[in-house]
Amino acid sequence: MFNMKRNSSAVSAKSSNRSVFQQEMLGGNPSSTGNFGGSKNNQQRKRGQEMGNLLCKPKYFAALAASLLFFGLQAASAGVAVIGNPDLGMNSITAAQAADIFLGKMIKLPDGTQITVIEHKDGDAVKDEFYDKVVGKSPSQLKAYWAKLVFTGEGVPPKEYAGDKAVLDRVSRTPGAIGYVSDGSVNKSVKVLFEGK
Amino acid sequence: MRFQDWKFKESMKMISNKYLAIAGLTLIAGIPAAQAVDFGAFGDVSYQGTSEKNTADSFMQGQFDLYATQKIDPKTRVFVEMVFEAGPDNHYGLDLERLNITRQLTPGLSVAWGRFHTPIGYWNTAYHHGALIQDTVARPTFLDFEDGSGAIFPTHIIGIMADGKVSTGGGDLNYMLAVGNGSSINTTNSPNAPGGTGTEIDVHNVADTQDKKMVVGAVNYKMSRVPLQFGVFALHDPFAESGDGSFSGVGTNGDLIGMQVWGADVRYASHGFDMIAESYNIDNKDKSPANTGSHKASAYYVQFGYRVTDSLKPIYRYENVDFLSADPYFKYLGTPEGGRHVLDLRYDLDDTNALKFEVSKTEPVSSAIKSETSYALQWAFLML
Repeated sequence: MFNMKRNSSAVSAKSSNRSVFQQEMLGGNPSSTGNFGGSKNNQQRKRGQEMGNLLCKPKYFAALAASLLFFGLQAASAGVAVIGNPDLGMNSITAAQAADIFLGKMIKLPDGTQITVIEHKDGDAVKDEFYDKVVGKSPSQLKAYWAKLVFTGEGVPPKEYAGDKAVLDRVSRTPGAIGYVSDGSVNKSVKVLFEGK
Repeated sequence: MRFQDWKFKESMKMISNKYLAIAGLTLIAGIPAAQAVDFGAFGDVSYQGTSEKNTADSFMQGQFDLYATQKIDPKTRVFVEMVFEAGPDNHYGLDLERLNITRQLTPGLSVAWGRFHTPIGYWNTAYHHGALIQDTVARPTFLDFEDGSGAIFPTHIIGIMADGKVSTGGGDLNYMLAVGNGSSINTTNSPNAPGGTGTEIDVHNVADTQDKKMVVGAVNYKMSRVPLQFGVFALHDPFAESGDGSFSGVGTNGDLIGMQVWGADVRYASHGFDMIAESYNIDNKDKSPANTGSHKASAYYVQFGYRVTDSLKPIYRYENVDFLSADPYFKYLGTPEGGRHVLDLRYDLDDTNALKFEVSKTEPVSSAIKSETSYALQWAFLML
């Protein structure tokens, strides 16, 4: 409520500039540029207009759309690979086992090996994807899960590393380590235990 | 003072306050990022009513429970929990419920120092002040925290605790051993003392009143193939008198009660059905000049829950406290003997908040005490 009020007042405080801003962005009266930085903004606007003109041409628009579609499909089909230290005594795990490992419910492999979980930092896109596809938890549900365990003394979240490269490095060098990365990042330093698409 | 001077001073005050606030917020925001301190808070609000005619049905602000934890080095963790809570006088107080530092010595042994939940039974180790964590609105009455009206055990201990886990083929064996300050009761305030309005168990946060200490030990086994956990525990607490002794006949800080407790707990929790049961056998030795000897007592509860859907769960609990009328310990505390039926309906709106409706009915042994029916609607939450 407070934020809404504060934001609305901020909007109204700036409303006097809004029409000038809209004119600028829409290529209105050039004389109004004095309010936004003069000749530099003129150049930027000019470049913007040129880009706009290019995109208006059908062949450039089609090329851009095709590129977006290609990369969009690539991103949509990107999967997550659960990886393990190459010396692990097993070559595959199930999705349920992967979920149990990263929720701290499974701390040992069937052969008795102590598992060291290598986790991604919050904000890594692959983390959201892994917990959504494999574990079935949203970021807020995951936070709530660990908060309850920490509060009751029943568990501590695993140590976090930033990015696939750091996770790969840590998993490859730690006996009993299990982590996950985008399937495109997998290399020969680790073994793939499970792939989630 | 000239108007311009006043205006200048006021402006400076506003600017300095503004910068102080910004600096403070920056500092708070910076701590989690720089030192990875995990903060969280539990809270609850409720509406409670009772068949007791002298008690008005009330909207209640419940507890606001703020906790923070940090791994300050690879083997050392600190945990702090503060609870803001109002009493019947409507005034809020702040209690440091847990403050401890834990060092992992080996993979199977950790040593902790500070204030903890006493490791007796399942409930007191698994459920803490955050109401969202436990299925029901309230704890079993006899496991109330020390300042609760039905408390009969020291649910917190200030001392040192060693704990650890030994993994076997079929599950994990957990053990806890704690030594801490002995408890005391101000019997002058006992509801059974002349003019007494109520007393509570004091676990002595900073200054013990005697050299004798509380000793607690617990062992439980959590099976890996079946969602079953069972354990045993024992407690020795040399209660002292913290009042003037006019009711007990024991001088201030003198030996009052030698309490020995041993018990067992079991918990089964599958995806749908869960059950918890705990039993406490109590032996209270009268240390007062009256020397009425040893008195056996018992307390137990059994709770069943069934998750009908992912969100909806009905829970039933029966709890009971049984003691001899000659037992001075329960006389000092003013504990009512008897049972209590508790029926809850819990609806989880999300992992972070839940609505709970509870109806309970007491069954006092004494015909002089009326049975009481209570109900409560609670909304419990977790802030991250």
